[in-house]
Amino acid sequence: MQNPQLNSDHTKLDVASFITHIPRQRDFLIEAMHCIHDAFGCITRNHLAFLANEFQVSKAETFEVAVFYDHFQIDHPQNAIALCMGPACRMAGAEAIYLNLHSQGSKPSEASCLGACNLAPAAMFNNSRFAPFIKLDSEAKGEKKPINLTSQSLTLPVPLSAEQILAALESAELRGFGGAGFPTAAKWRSVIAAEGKPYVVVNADEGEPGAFKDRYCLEQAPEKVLTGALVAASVVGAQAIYFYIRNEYYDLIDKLISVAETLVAFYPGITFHWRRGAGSYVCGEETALLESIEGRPAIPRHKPPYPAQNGLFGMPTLVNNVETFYWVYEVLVNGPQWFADQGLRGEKGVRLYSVSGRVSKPGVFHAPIGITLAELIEDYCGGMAADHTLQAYFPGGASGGVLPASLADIPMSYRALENFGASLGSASVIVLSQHDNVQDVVTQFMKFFSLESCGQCAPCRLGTVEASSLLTQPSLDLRQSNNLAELMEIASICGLGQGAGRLLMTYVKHFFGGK
Amino acid sequence: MPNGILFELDGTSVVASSNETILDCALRLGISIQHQCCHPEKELPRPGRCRSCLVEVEGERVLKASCREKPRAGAKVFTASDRLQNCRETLASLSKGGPSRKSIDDSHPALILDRDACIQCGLCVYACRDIQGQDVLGLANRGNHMEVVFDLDTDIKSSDCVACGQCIEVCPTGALRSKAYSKISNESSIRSTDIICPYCCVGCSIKVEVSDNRIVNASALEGPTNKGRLCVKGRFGLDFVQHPDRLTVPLIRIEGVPKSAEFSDWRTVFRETTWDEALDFAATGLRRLTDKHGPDSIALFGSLKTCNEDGYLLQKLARIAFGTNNVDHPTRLCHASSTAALLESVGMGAPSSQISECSRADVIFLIGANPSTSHPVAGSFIRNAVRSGSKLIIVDPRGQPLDRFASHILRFKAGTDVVLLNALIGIIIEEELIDRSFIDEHVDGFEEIANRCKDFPPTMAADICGVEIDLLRTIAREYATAKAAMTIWGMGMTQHTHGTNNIRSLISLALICGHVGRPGTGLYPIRGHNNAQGAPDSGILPHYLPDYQPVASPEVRKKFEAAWGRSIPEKPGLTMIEVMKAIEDGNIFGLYAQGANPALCMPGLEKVRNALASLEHLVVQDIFITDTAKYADVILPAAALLEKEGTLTNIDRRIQITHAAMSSPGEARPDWWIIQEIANRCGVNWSYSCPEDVFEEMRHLMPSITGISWSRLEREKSIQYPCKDSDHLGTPFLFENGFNTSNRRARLVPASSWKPGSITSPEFPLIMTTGRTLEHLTGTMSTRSTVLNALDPIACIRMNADDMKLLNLNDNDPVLVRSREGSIETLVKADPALAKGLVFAPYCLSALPSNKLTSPAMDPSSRTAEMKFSAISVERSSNPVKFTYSSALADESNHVPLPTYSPC
Repeated sequence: MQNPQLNSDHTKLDVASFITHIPRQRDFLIEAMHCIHDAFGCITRNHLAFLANEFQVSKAETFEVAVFYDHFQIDHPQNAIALCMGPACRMAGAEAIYLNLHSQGSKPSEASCLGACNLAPAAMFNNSRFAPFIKLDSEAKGEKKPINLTSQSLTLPVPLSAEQILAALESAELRGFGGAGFPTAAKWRSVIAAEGKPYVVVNADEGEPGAFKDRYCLEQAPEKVLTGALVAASVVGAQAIYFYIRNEYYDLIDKLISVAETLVAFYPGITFHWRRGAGSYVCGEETALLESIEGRPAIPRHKPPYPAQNGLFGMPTLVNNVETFYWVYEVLVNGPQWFADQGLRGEKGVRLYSVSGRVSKPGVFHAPIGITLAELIEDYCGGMAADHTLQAYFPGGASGGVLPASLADIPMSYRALENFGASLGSASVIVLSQHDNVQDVVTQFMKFFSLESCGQCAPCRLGTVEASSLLTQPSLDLRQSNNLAELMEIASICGLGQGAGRLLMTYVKHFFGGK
Repeated sequence: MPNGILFELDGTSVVASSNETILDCALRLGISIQHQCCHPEKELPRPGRCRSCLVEVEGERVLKASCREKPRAGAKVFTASDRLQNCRETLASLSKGGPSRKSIDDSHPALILDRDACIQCGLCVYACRDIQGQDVLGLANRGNHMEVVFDLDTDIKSSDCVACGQCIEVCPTGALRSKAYSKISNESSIRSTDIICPYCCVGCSIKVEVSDNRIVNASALEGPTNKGRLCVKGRFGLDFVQHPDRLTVPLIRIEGVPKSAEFSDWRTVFRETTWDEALDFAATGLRRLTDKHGPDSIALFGSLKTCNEDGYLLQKLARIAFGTNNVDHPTRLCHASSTAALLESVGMGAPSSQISECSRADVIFLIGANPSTSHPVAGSFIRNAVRSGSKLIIVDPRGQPLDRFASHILRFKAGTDVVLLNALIGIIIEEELIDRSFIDEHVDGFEEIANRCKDFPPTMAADICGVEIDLLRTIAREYATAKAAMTIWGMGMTQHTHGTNNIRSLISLALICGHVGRPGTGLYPIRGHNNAQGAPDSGILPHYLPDYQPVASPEVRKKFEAAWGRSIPEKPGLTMIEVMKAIEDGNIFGLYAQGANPALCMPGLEKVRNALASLEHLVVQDIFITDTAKYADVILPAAALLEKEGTLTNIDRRIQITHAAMSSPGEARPDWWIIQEIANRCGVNWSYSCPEDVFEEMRHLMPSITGISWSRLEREKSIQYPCKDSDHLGTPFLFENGFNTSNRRARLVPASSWKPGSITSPEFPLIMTTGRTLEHLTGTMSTRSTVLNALDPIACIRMNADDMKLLNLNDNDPVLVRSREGSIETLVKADPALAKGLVFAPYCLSALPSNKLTSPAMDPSSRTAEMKFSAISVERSSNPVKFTYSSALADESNHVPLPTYSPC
């Protein structure tokens, strides 16, 4: 293969016109790639050589970035239609649609979960998500309240000091809603304690299969999320908020920017920076997200140091999930007591559950922490879908593990689920019935992990591939699966490999009576 | 607990220091923990990716990579447990993997990438990017598809890889490995030796492994200058020593065979002989001439490739055995202008600093030098410095690989250096950015400089030099206001008829800003060959005895005469170009060329070669039949650097010892031995038994190195002179406490002229500049290396693509290149680094003797020729209708105009 050099002025002029507004800084490299990709439908090697020159990075670095992110097609444009192959969409017949389209000569690409599980089967056309295959039921679509940006909704009703805010979050026992469940106030305090000019990062890279509650927050209450982030920035002393939104949700960006423009007036000195993801599940991991913002492949960093000490651009950084900022707002407006009191079975608080699969009414629900699956299905989802009986469920998307119907009555809390080897994660509850093959879904998830693995550490890079292959054997080798699951769960660098281990481990444990 | 962290490792109490990881502690205590992707013994990052070094820490949910994990006080760490055992076994079974799915990239002459052996640790990428700053390697794709790529995933050969081989050095699995050199036949027969690289003056330390007298591998040592780095030449280019062209026996010209370079088989010109006959013949021939025509009827040319001891003996031979000071060597043609100007201003001709100071400089001012190509390892330190925040200002008519690291690039018109530098000085003075207190304390002659630069008002200078006035001002300000600036120059500055004036201006620029004598500063002429610093130091100079002690001084002569027991002629001798002139004029009849190749390296080669052919007696001592040896009466086969021991002096004034890694082919002998044999046939009685004897004599006569004994060098490997006594540690910076002049003050000397000797005309409208290529430095050696030749096999000139279009030339077309001095036929290639009107030619290749085109017009002070500026024409050589560049260019506005302004 020829090594492209920059010798064509034509290419140079052509491409340059699409990125005139992009600063030539490393952290804008992915933004520049988006501009080119939007214009050409792909990025060619000549474009990459051009970008290398413009951004003063090596050709290899532009290549590493471009091929790391799924969204970027190299040299050849892909079909503009991408079908969602997330769990709910598969259950809703996405595979059949895919095969059907294929047989008609159209070659749609496959997307991992688009975060439209309540609208399954979903698809994406030229960067916009839609659900073209079923008649949209207005209820499932979710009622969009018009957002009323009154001064009341823009500022907190009671002006609070930083310490009062932290105390409120502590008293509410608010934990992060991204998956790890780390106490929010503690995270904020460690950023405050660290030396350097801090940053706040909003993680809107909701990529967990079955998760669409961040999307819900951004659609229904962007002012709350953004206010939460602004409050966080004020408390930790950050002047810049990086808002990293997954490419699949980029249709919301204009709305978010316009809401933010109104809000920042009340928080002088704080600026939003918008960053568009490019298709990488591992970006949900906070350090991978930081790498991505800095314009590199999203390869998670070793911890320590933690982002709170050494995060974005080497500075103390507060990374919180969209939903976390949403609840920060709610806690501060309604008081910590209001929040904490809603918990069940000794748990404190309330959260958003993304429920998809075989329930009558999939969607995002405000429900107490500590609720059981059975209650969630009955009280919020209108019960199981007709003709479906609960067989198994995934309490926290692909990475939270899988549990059998017999465990539908345990509280869905971090502590309780841990006893069964599972994790609540982002509370993306996927419900399977007798019509579903649990092993098929587990296998799909494992393949998803192997495709999304960044590749840096051996247990995840090799283990997810091996596990996918074990799961497709006629009979599952339980000993080997168990060993492999343990290796991934305790030897991987980041949560992706650990989640893959958890998935296999819970499957072997609960569905084969493995140890 | 004083200075340590107490924890428990497998039940034993251990104290870790604050930067020790668990793995470090375990290895220190002899507890083995398997590890794959890190080199705990080296200063490299720990990728922590293979996960084979995992340990269990009590109370932790997950296992910890012991290579990165620092123990916490009181922690209980286990290197063995059932859980660990299980994980290790499972991991090992995964790593074995299935059948090969990935390709082996075997496209490159020196490197192999075997992707199946790769464990995705990323150390090669670190080596490529962060150590060498080359940025070719990447780790692309994700998951199980993650793999090492070159550039945009091209094969190695087509990539921008410069084959420095740093990736090989760090690769833990041999996925990236060398395929250079001979295959190892017998592992137990391998002997490894520490040598100093025979190529450039950076003086990298190399470990050479030899089996059955064949090189099987070369790798980087943690040398004081190279710090574990090498370039393509040092790593892959050493096999020239075992090339079949090596001289193995002495040769004498067959009687009656006329002197001409036109022969293909040397056996038709020379006959093999014994050392005795050859040495007698060589010595007698020279003595006959001095007896007949007087001592100054012969000349001796030394080498900048051989050791200090060899050079010292050669000049001693000239002076006391033949009674002439006609002894010189090829640094005359490269950095003599630097030496002349530095001696005049600051009292010492060597670089005042060291290359590693770049890391402490906030501005690096690089002018007329291309270190990435000519001194690749030095280039890597400049790239490192830029990455860690230094600003790089590049001033050069030609583009270069470092350009992409530069904060400012000033591409000015070739030959207008004095104007440019004086304009910079003028701006700095005008804007009051000078370091007044430094000048008051340390500098004489400021007023003269201030007056001279008035002759070069910035606007006019910008016009003459073809640069933007604003850029000129920006650069002046950046340089002057830097806290510490390194001033680095190469032969782009020195090889001009105004070379000394260039350096005088550069010294003035640095000194009025106070950028000398402190960390991060330095006047740094970046010298060429491996002993380009040591050769002049050791006295192979017509005006100076060793250590730049003037031969004209009676006291100096007295000191040397006392030591040598013979009288030394008082009259300074002739420089290389003057010797050639004297041969033409019938005043010199004999020449002893020890490792010098005037028939390739001197300007105006046609005349030089004719002069060499006309000599009555030419003795050539070398490792190959060089262009010069073709005219020889007798050829003495010398040992190559890898086959002998001795000292070399590098770019940082470091004296370093090199050792014999292998034995010489046939009867080839070390230079010092041959010179001694000649001397002993000329009536002096020398009995040096080894280079150590010579060096010990040298240091007692050379105040700068008196404190450096051979045994100390063996022990310490490297010492930077001046080093006055055995307790002195050596001198990284010169001029920390004043200059090396009688009043301790620097004396600025205004430039007296600036016009190039060669001028363009309608007949010769292009300007040729010369230099090295990455692979070829000392073409006699590099073209005989398998890898270097394979990487850069075609000798060609390079031009601007637009100029080629005008001449209807395509890449690799044959061209006739003419100048007022002569002509050559060669091939041409387009090169974006060249501005319109500028042509580049390599100067060290027999196949492309570009010095046939250069003019012997000399700088009056340094006697260096104007080899960086030659007016030439280029035309297609096979085209019957002559299409000359001049007619096509008649109304081209970009045509480099004749310099018309003369202030002097």
